[in-house]
Amino acid sequence: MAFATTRTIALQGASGHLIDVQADVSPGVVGTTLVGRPDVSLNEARDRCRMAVVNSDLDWPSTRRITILLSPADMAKRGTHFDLAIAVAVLGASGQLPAAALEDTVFVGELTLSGGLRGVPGVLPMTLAAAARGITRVVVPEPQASEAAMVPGMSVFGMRSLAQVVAELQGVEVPEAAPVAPMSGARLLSWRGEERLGELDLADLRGMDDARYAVEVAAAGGHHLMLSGPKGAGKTTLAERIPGLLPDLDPTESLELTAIHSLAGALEPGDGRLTRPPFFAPHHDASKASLLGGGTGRVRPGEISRAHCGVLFLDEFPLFRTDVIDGLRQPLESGEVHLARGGESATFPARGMVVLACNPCPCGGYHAQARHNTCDCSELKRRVYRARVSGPVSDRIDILRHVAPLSPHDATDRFAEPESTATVRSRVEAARRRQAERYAGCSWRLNGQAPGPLLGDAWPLEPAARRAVDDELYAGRLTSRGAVRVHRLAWTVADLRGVERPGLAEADVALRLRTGEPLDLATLARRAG
Amino acid sequence: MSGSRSAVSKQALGAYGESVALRHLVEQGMVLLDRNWRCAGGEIDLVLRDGDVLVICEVKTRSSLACGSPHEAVGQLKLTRLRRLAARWLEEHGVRPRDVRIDLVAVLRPTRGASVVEHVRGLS
Repeated sequence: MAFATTRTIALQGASGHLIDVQADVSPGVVGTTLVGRPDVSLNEARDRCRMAVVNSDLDWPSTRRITILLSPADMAKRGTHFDLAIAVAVLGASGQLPAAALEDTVFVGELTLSGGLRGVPGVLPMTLAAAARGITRVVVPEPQASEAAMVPGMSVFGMRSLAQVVAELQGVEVPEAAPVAPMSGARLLSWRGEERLGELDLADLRGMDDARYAVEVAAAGGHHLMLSGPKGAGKTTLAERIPGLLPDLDPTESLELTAIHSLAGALEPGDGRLTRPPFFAPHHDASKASLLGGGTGRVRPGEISRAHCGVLFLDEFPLFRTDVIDGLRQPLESGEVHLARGGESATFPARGMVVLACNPCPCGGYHAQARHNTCDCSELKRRVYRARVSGPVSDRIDILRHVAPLSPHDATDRFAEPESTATVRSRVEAARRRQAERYAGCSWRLNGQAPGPLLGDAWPLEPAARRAVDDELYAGRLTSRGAVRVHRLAWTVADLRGVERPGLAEADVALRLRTGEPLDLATLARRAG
Repeated sequence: MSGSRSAVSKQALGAYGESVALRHLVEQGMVLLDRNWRCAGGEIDLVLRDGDVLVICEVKTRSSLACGSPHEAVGQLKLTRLRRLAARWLEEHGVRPRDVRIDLVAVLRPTRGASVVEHVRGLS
């Protein structure tokens, strides 16, 4: 029986399916048929595999009829990473490899005509999917072996050519092979200030006590934040300093984030695991597909998913396209993006903080007090602008904060010593530790992600605080979604201050953060002291 | 194709291949019914009987693998033509076999060394 089975993984969005590649080599009209819904690039695998086998000094059964089935056959498959599994299956079916060597192994890689093994996007998620299905061995292109090796308990074979793979499976000495060019191109651009974000420090900012505190709470609890204020007040400056406040990613988060970047094809070989929270600030021209995910062909994760566990900063938020703004509702609420297509659907995680910045009007000069007001927008323009900010999206934002221009007093106060990023980060880390202890064994890690109904039952506020929040709700100043957000914020404020359970003081701060009223920080500090 | 070889030697190679193929098939117990049967639609190399199955056999002979293996010369188009020819042969001879099969015999006759014969049963 001239028949062999190998395995590989097909990615559909963020889920991986184990694919059996079965090859049958038998007499008949000579030719190679590939069945099981391959797309164009996959159908070309027949020619790539044939030439790769021949040029690796192995025998392609050219006098036989070769039938290759990718099963489950009803699933549409795309991509070039099936090559290796197909070539190995054909070699197995024609008796050049022992069947036992192919068991419990997943093969991933694109073949070149010379028999080299090229890298493909998505090796980490594929390995994760393989591990979930009980596979213990993966054979991947050498440049991506480090990516696959991040999955615990997986034995990874990083190979440079088909000849090396065959030798490994036959148990003979593996021949030398020239290294194959890595998948992604070399970086053509690098510029001074590329690492700018790493050098930013909160100590550079004077004044802005309210906004600083809001940023600290947002970072501690993973809350979404909206900064509004006139141009030049320091919204962007402040937002760029948020990632510095976040602690390093834990192993699970780091694996999730690296897998997303691998899916997006944005992982450079040698990058290793991503350990720092990401920061993405897409321009307001960004399309829905680039921001939320999608694209033609394969469904790819968007910026919001690439900012998973980090910060997505949307500057000039009202200038974003309406469909993008509307599309943000679901991820803001649930922490994931669900993309549905005719043929496939995908769900990507998106549990990053979303930070929005907006001006009070299109020109940015509006001020409520006439003597500061330099705005020359028409009232209609202002209203259209504000309508985009308010509404469903802003209801899903936990913290609203107005960033006022620096007062002349603060700007020239030479005795003020603004807190540094390191100081604030240590407080954020302490607050996050308290949350980790409280939510041990739960599927979420931060207050900002805790499900509302459960929060009310398992981690309630002090009765007085509860009453204060309920009063606002009954008075119609808070939606019920808003009340949940206040509840979460109160817990973060309590975590930052080291309070066991949020009381009236914490609830008051939470309400002010939510509604955008000025904070009474002096009182808060006094009470804490 | 090769311009150096004359038409005569090409035919000679074909005839040689057919005789090698026939010997191989007869050794396996098949009975020859017809040889180089021609009609307007083309030619059948060998017609044989294998038990109660009628076998239409195409013989392909090559002296080297420079233009691919003999097998590769028989594609879907050729197969369709052989099927049509088989129907014509049956019609003309009034035979009603239990089954009809189309076989391929590939003969490789290298410049030196023994010929290699391979019999592929039941093309489809």
